Amino acid sequence: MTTRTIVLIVAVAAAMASSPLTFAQNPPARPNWRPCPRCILDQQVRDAVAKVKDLPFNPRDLSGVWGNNDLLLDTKTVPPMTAWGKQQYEATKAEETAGGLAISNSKDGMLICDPLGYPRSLWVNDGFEFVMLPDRVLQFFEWSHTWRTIWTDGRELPDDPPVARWHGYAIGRWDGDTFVVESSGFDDRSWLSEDRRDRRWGFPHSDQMRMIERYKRASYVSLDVTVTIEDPKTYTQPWVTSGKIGLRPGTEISEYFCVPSESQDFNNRLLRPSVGAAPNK
Amino acid sequence: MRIHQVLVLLLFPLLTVLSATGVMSAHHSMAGYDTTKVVVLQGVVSEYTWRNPHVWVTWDVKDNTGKAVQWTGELPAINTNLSLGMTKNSLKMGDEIAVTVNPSKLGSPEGRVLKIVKKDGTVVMDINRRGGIQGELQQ
Repeated sequence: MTTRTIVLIVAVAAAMASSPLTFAQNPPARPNWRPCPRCILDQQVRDAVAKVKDLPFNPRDLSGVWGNNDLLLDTKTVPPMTAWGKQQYEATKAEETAGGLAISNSKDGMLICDPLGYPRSLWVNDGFEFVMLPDRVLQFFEWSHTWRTIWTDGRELPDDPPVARWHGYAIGRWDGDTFVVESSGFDDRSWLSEDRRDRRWGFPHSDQMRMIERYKRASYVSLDVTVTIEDPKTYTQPWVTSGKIGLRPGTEISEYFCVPSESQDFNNRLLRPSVGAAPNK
Repeated sequence: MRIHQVLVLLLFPLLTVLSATGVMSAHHSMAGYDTTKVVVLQGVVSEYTWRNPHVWVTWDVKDNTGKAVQWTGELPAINTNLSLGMTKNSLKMGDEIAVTVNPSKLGSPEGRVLKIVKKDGTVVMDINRRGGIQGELQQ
């Protein structure tokens, strides 16, 4: 066999190997649809985490699907409220029936699909995904199927934002391997969180609130997170919550829209009748 | 409660676990349900609604006189039900089921569903299967 013949055979083999016909016969494995972070049992989460927990990681890459309500506002360290703050807190109290039963958390906008706002979207999200882009970090939340943009292009927070936002205005920077997010410009209609000590109430905030969040990737599967809320109009001291948020390997964000008509239907069908309250129109 | 199929059980340990995991408490308060009381009600499915924020099922339970009382039971959101192995096809009208619930405090026929078992013994849903990873992550 001449050298010329060998080259020809190799060339033909290479062409066949990369041809669509060859791929059609031996198709590469296609990705499957993955479950959402809350669509699997906790033991399945443990098993998935155990397989990847020791993988190497880039501490400045936060991308991935994280958490499922892993971190909750710390209600062991509720700061004293100002007089204005107390008024706002009392105004969140659920309505009661004539018989004195609380109508669930009836003042909670969540029951009628109002946006949760920030930081409540961090506590109640059914999972979220960080997407790292050159000039911003996106945070997609499963609950409400919504997102927050954290700008990393060097801009500063607006002094007097023209429109208050439910998720506020957020900028991010790296302090060593810690991603630091500062935010302000919040719409004061949202709650910091429901009061998990007693769900009849919620924790208010003002439009003066500023927040600092710190995210440090402690391992392939874990984020150390500290959230500091500063709102002197409502609370006399900063409110700090710290904890861990875990990776959810093998999951993907799904589509949990909060649908007002469906929520209203549920409220009238179950929530209100269970305490003897009349349906809402 | 005058329904002869009702079994009243006190299951405080189970309820403590459920409350610690926060599985069902994310969307609204459970203040309307008596979480100190667990009852099992046998009946026939008349409606099954696979929706957020909570899936629900209605089933007809016969009382001592033979009269059917329609109960409505609240289940978790779709994502949690999927984790428990439940699907949009898990129940259909006419299925005979036994439903474990925390009943309404008022004694009205509503409840928070903890478990559903079909007549042939198939466990359709059991909230206790979920687990409790959130507490571990905080350690």
